Amino acid sequence: MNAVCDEGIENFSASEWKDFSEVKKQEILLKYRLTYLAETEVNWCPQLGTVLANDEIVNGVSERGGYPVVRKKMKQWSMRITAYAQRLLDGLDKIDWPQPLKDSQTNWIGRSKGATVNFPILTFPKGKGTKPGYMTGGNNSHLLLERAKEMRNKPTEAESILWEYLKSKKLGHKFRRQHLIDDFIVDFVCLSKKIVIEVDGAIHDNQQEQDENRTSILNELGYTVLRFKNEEVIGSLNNVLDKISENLDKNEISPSGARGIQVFTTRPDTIFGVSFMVLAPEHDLVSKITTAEQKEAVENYIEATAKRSERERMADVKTITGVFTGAYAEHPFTGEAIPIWIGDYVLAGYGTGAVMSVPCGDQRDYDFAKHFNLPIPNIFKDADISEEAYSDKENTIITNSDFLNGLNYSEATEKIIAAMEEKGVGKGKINYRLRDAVFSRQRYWGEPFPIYYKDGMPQIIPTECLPLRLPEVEKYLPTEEGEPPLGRATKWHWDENKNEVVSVPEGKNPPSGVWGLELNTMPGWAGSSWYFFRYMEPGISEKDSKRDKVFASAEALNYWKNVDLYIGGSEHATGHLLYSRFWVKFMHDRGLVPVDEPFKKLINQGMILGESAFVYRLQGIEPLYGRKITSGMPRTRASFSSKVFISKSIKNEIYVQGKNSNHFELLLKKINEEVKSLNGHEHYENLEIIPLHTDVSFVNNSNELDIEAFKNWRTEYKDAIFILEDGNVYEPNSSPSGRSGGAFKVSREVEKMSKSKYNVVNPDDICEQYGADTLRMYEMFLGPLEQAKPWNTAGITGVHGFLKKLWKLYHSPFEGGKGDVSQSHEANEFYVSEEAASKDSLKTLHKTIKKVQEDIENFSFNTSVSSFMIAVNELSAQKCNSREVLEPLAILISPYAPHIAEELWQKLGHSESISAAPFPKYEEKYLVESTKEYPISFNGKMRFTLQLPLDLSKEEIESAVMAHEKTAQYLEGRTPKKVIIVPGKIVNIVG
Amino acid sequence: MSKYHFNKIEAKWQKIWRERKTFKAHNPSSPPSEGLGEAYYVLDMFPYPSGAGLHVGHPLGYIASDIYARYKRHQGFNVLHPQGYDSFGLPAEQYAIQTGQHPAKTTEENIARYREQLDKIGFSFDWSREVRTSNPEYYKWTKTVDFHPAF
Repeated sequence: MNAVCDEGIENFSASEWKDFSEVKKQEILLKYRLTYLAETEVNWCPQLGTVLANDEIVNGVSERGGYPVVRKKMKQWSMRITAYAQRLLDGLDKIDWPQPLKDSQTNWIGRSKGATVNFPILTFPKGKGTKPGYMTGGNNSHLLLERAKEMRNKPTEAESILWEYLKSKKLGHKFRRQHLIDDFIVDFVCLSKKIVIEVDGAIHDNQQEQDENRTSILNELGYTVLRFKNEEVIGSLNNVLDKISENLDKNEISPSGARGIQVFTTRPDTIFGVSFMVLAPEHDLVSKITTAEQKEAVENYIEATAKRSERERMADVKTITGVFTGAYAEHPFTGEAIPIWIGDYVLAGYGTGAVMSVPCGDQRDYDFAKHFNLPIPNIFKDADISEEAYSDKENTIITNSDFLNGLNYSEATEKIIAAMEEKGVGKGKINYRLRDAVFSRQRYWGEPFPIYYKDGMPQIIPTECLPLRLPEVEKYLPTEEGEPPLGRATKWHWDENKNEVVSVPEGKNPPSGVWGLELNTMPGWAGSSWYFFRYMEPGISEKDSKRDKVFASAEALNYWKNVDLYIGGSEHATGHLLYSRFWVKFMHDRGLVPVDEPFKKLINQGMILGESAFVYRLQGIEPLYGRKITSGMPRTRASFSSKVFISKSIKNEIYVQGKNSNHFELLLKKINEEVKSLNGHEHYENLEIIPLHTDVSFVNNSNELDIEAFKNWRTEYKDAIFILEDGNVYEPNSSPSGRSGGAFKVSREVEKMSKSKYNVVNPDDICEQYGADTLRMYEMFLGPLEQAKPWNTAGITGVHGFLKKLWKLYHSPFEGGKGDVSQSHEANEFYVSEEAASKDSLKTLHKTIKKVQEDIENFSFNTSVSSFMIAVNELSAQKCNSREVLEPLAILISPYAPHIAEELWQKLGHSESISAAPFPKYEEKYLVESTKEYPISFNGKMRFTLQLPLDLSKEEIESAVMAHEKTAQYLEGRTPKKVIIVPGKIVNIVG
Repeated sequence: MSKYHFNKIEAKWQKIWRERKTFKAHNPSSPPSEGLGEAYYVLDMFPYPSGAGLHVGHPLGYIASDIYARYKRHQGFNVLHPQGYDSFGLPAEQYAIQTGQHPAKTTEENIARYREQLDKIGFSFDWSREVRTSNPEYYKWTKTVDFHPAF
């Protein structure tokens, strides 16, 4: 029985599997593991000494440090995320995530539907129109063709015998004899089945090595080589023919036969528009097909490309580069010869690393064709391609395309895929942009792999021997040989017998059963892709914890399931948030967890930006004539950094008025005095103003600089001179800060909050100065959670004032109010009244409950803070101190300001934490208006309004209206004929 | 006499919450197993403990999730709201290269500083379930997934 294998893995039978060596078995198994070892093209960052993931590279340089990144092949662990591509897409429909985040994962996965197509490669003579597909020779064909002809005419005895049985499709398939394949002349070949038959004379016994070499090249080109000895053919012809037939039946090969270029295209409908092909410079075929004439140009180009990162190549659409290989492919439908180029806009890792170029329909192909003057056949009906490619597939009608003419995009796609499959030149296929994720890092501070290498094959350390702890190293740098830092560890071998990490003295071979451990470590996402399950199991210090036995118990996993709400930054869109989803799907498949998505709802909070502060320092500028100008030297002027700092309005004045500014001469004079004291002469003629970051902690809410603190910040500022807002020079003894007009002001600018911009605000300082509850409420108050917003410490006093007011509401009995106990209670002491609250207060409370509940459920926390402020203002105005209102108010506010809420709750007489108190229930009845302002009309004319309770009957309304003095006034003694009353709406008196 | 002494009030309640384990989440088998509300899991992306500590931008998301977790508790849910550290990473390693200090040591120090800062803001985290990715007792379980015997 044959094992069913994926593309790229040979078929084998169960008995063959048994006979495979352990190494070979492992090699095959690795192709199926989630985490596998493979030669991978990676982003290597020499400065950081490590491989970077695609999402760790920004604009072609490392995200951390901005160092250059190059492409390099390395043996690496990878994770087979591609196997989950479709499910990662499908799963997005089930989760409540922001659309932009879903979009970026969708794009990252990059699903496209199309076809793989095989373009056979043509050989010499190049360019002379079409060339039949059976010509499979290499670039030296023109030299070998004569020789082949000669050999055909002088067959050996064995060859003649065999040919009698092979020719004229006697075995059901066409064979050719003395046929050119690459640089070889093979004895017989069946191109449709890719089977080569070699009949060897005695001479071959001495050239085994050459033959093996030849066989391996032919295998690489996709041929099965059957080798027979002369005597076998002559002596046991039947056995030989049986063996050939057996192989003919086995080999299911596309009829196009010869080696070809596989492409994946999302637009198979445009295949008749192909006018050239482009391979990635790294494509395996490049070296094999390049002609001698083009060799140098191609090699130079490959070298240049290796220096560019993939991202750069993808992003750069302006620079068009490429080289012709000299080789041609055959169009699978028209049979025309298509030139094969290489170009760096084609990436080796995407699809097959080759494209069929349709310049009329793809802009990059179009630009390439224009640049290199290649033909641009138009296959779109009525499309103008004089300026750019036509890529609107929805409005496409195919033309100039044989049997596809007149069809639209989807009809043509369906028809061409069917035609390809029938002809055996291609088939429909779904492709993904997503690649497997490189899982090895050449770093120290990461998870060590529980892996050692026995005879070069990776082995897993038994679970019961874990954890494997990081070894000590003397330095955290790669070794001189370029190994990762773990290569420096002296104790980093695995003893299979003792099952422990052991040392092997340097320069000594490890004893038997002792093997080197993996030197790479795992990337950060190894730990962050499943940590949320670990939390489900109680901590190790808890009695019921099973953390030492399992990553999380089944009971815990089934109870908590997945994360209901996940909050974090959007920068993890295609990193952590994709890897976690992938791991959870795998864990689910292996029965490790009951869920297949980690995070049901996700919110990305916006970034809080810093408000940087700038001071302005003057520089003196040298006059042009003051410098010797050597020819060829740029005419730059030297400048001199003075010690003079100028306040904001002086800076503005000089910016606007230049030399006409009131302060210009004075400041220039100051600089020249300073210079003179240094080197004896003054010669600066102009000023320049340089903004410098100052630490925001030296600046108060009015943007005034604490000059002394600034001077003490850096020694270079120690004897700085400050020109204040009013133009005076700062003198330490006069302490002008705060004096009218005499302060030194800074400018502000919103930037990312970072240490290097000195705009970092530490939450500890805010907690110290205003309290954590103020910090919490203020952060929410800054704006919608998901938006970026600047931090402005000045605004915090408003929120802090609100909390003080809230406190007061529970502490100050109101004079004249229901709780006027001013006689018996001291002001400012905790007080709530047990009396019922007023309707207004209940209304305030319930509208706040409603609003806050809606806000929390919509994550609109900023608007809640405003509602609390309104509520506390209203309740203060209503002089409310009723427990009926103040108790639920404390609960409402407790998620936002938990400390003050707990304190008030305790004062209200509760011993349990407020956090367990049930959320107040909103009751609509308190919001319903209880009175109505009725418009009172006389014969349809509104004369006045009257406030009446809404629950009055018609009769009661009528008597109330009729009893009103204004009614008597407007009736002027008349008796109305009729009183029309619509309760809750109007009153009209007729007559 | 009773002014709003926020420093005193906040320190007092942070201490009480810690001592009484007010925000401990309960698994069904652990007491009190009866009367447990429906499970609800609120999580923040755990921080990388950098040497610079927290600035006011970092807690924004934590405050939002904390409000939500507390709201859910008021509604009677059994809320799991844990926190931990994504404590492996390049900055600690680069610092180690520069100073020769073991990354485990600087990471430990940074975590202590983070914890101190987080505690001051009054989050309702169940710290008993803390996770640190650099802890061998945590990462030994990663193998359950990445080298799962899938064949």
